[in-house]
Amino acid sequence: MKKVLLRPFYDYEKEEKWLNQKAKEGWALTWYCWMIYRFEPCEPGEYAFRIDFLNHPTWHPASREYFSFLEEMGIQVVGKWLFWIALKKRTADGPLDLYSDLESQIRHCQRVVRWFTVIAVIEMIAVLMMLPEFIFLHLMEHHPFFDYHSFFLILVFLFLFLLFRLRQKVRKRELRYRKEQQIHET
Amino acid sequence: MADNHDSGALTEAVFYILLSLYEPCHGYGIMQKTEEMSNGRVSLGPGTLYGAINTLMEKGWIHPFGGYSPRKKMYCITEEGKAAVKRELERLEELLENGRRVSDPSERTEDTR
Repeated sequence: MKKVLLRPFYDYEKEEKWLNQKAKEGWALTWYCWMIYRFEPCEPGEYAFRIDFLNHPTWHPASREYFSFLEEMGIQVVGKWLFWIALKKRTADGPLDLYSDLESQIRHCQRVVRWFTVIAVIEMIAVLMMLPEFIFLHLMEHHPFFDYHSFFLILVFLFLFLLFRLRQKVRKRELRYRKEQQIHET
Repeated sequence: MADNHDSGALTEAVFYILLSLYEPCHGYGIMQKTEEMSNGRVSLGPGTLYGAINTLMEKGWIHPFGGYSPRKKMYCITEEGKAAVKRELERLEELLENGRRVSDPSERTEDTR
């Protein structure tokens, strides 16, 4: 009895909360790719989930080494997409906290911020490439303001705005950790 | 490899990882030994541990050990790693000495009336 859900998550923390919520309800993630999530029934609260962002893509040998390292700790990699992985662990085996000191948490924040920056830059390049044609068309008389170009541009800007907000959230957290690091290590 | 950073303070995680590797051990073993030695106070996260192990290998303070199974990779401390631990112990002794001297009430002479 499996279940497949589609969700457009761009915020990995909300995604993680959602996976753990589903686990409490008795549904464990067995596979994911991009927006597609596959679940299987489980004991409510049997598993805990975390989402991690890697230094290398999931197919890189260094990443594969990390996966077997995690497996030694009883942590299973249940989903992979580019640099993102979804991890699963039995709650009976202890909490699933990947990073125990500020330095590794900071480095994780930096990786995620870099990811959002790269995506935003790609989006902005796409917009710039579209702009000349857009302006030319709309300068012509009798051309409706809202055509599919404008609709697309509005969507892209909305997405860029959300992405920027999320990037700032992670960046703020990184700065908070750095400040804390002046006093503590963990 | 004269690096000025080698005389600096080690993090707790690194210190305990090095101590755990005086005998060859694998990742999970390092986690267990550290928790045992610190009475449960220091609990190494897998992400942190993995990063630290790689950094320590780059520095030459630990090296891979044996080669039974490629899955359960084992590590062991090197001579350089042991030297780093000795330096750290000296640093900690200095801190302990000064800390006790300054904060120990029986040593303070101002309030004794």
